[in-house]
Amino acid sequence: MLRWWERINREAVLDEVAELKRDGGCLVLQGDAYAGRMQAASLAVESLSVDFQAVRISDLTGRLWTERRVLAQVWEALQPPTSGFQLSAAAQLAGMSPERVIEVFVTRLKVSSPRPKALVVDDVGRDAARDYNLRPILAAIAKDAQRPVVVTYDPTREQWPSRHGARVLDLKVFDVTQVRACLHNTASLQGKTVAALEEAVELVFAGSQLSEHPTVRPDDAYQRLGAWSRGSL
Amino acid sequence: MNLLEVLRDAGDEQAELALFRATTAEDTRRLAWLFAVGLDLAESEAAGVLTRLWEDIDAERAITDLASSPMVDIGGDSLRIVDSARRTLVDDFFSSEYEIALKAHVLLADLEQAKQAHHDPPYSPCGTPEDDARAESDSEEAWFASVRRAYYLAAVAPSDSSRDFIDLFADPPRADPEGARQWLTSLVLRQERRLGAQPRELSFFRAFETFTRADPADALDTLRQIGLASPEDACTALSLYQAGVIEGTSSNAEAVTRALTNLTRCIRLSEQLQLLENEIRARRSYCDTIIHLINVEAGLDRNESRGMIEEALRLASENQLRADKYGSDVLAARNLWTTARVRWTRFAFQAIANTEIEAEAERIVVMLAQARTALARQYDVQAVMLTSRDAAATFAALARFGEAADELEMGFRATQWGDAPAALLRLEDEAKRLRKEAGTAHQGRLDDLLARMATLTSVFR
Repeated sequence: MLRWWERINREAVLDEVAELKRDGGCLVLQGDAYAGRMQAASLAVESLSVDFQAVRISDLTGRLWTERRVLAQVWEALQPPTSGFQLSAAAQLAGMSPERVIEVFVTRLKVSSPRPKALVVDDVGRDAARDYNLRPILAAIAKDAQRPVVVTYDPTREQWPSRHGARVLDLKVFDVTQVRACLHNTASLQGKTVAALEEAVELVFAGSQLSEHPTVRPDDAYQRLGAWSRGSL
Repeated sequence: MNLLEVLRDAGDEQAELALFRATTAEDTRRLAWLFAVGLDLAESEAAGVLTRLWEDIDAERAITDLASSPMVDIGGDSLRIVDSARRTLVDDFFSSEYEIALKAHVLLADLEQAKQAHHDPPYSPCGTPEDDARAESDSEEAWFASVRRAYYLAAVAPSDSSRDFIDLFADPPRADPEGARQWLTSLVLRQERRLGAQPRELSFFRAFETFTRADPADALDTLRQIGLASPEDACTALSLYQAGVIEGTSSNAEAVTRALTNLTRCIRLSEQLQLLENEIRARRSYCDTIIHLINVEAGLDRNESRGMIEEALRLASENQLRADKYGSDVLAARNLWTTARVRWTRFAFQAIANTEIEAEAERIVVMLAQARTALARQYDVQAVMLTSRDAAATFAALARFGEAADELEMGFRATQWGDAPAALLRLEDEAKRLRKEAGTAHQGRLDDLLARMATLTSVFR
């Protein structure tokens, strides 16, 4: 769920998601800690939810987030409802070859429920070693199921390898036009004067004014707009 | 309130904190501090700790207010401070209310101790599979709670904290030991400023982080220094293992010999300190290193090599019993693979009777297949590919080229769910070697396999 200041438009993300909705496949939203990965994924979820049941796999607890745990959460999220005791997802996965895991996930993604499912996975690779495999597994699932799979990824350690067949989008900084548009399009700010909204723009870009085309890191924009929102109440 | 002035007065580094302070009530700021310090903290837990720290705080109102702050991510069952703000808020907590910050760490550590006690599983020798699954899950939860406790202790008792971190690293959950170790290490490094007075332990974890995420060679010097120095404790044992693993694969025979010395010391020290997991993996690495030394050291004579192979075989068999007793499928599977490789080396050195060749080769491929299945369940792509390569080499030695090609195909299929560049290159080398030896009978099939491999390996070469 996005707060208004996190709704600064990301046209590139939404364009890529629109393509995914048509053809399926894997989209990687790539950026560091200030890139607003979570917010970009939330925008993707909103867009996907028009035509799909968007299943989001995320961890806000800071727990172990290895590929095994991510796959266990995907397993639980895609599992059809059952009665009676079930072995934990981790236990079931432990007994399964990766090919079989991909097969199961592809089948479950393809099943209509009544709407087709799409998958969104946050922070792939957060606690992973070198040479880990979740990246190609997710790309393979997206390709074989022909469904949208969106992942967020921090490339600080390593760029997402192109050989895994996913579309990679680097999350960019925001410019003045984008921030201003968000302010003017937010319903709850309709009562604010233009001058007040321009003050918010000035606050967001304070420190980068010397540049001809000032930009701001997404996370900084969210922090400043969020603070302005609270400070102007 | 003029936020622009607040920003200008604060300067670049403190800008977001200054804005947060200017637009946030004191109670909410205190709650934010607590969530910045906390790991996996539920709102109900936070409310309880909050009122013990500040008696007159309105916890419910603070939680509602904090949820609308840009300092938190929302979703799921709890609030989480955004990554970019966490360290700033923790520093703000300590600089604003130092004694309360320390007390917060103590209370959070106590909370985790209670969780650890709650999850400590009762012994159930005749449990059903469901009971076993629950017990393993409980055991894991107890371990995670202990790690979080060690994290909080870093602020109040850094010596105890670093000792606990090392002990927990040496005894990780069975199901995913390496992932668990990496998570633990990430938490140690988040507390590195508080653990500065524990340089040995901190150096070990920094080296481990470098080893797993970047270049192992960069970690080697640090690990060797820790291994050489006294005291002879768990930190030394863990460092000797990592150093042995890194040098044990060197192309330099002197480095490999040094690895054997370090691993010998590691095994002895781990036995002494009852670090069973470290002992088992060190003994396995020792066997792998012997095989590697035989291949890189041109000066070894045949009898000496055969003696080393028999020693490795004895150690691998002894290790299998220990791995089975320890109850780790990962360790057992890796040890089985090592045993197969030792037997294959003996096979290649023609150190077995002619009448035994076929039977021994069959034993080797069965071992490799068992190890491969278990390692595939761990999503260990590299191990799957290399066990297939080893099985292919075994079949090729028996001139059963069709089965060798099957094995290579199986290894290559693993690339559909992952690829490990170095392993893929070695698989390709084996495929090329097999093509030379196989003659015309399997040429078409092997050419097709090589062409498919080339589309991937061209990226790495």
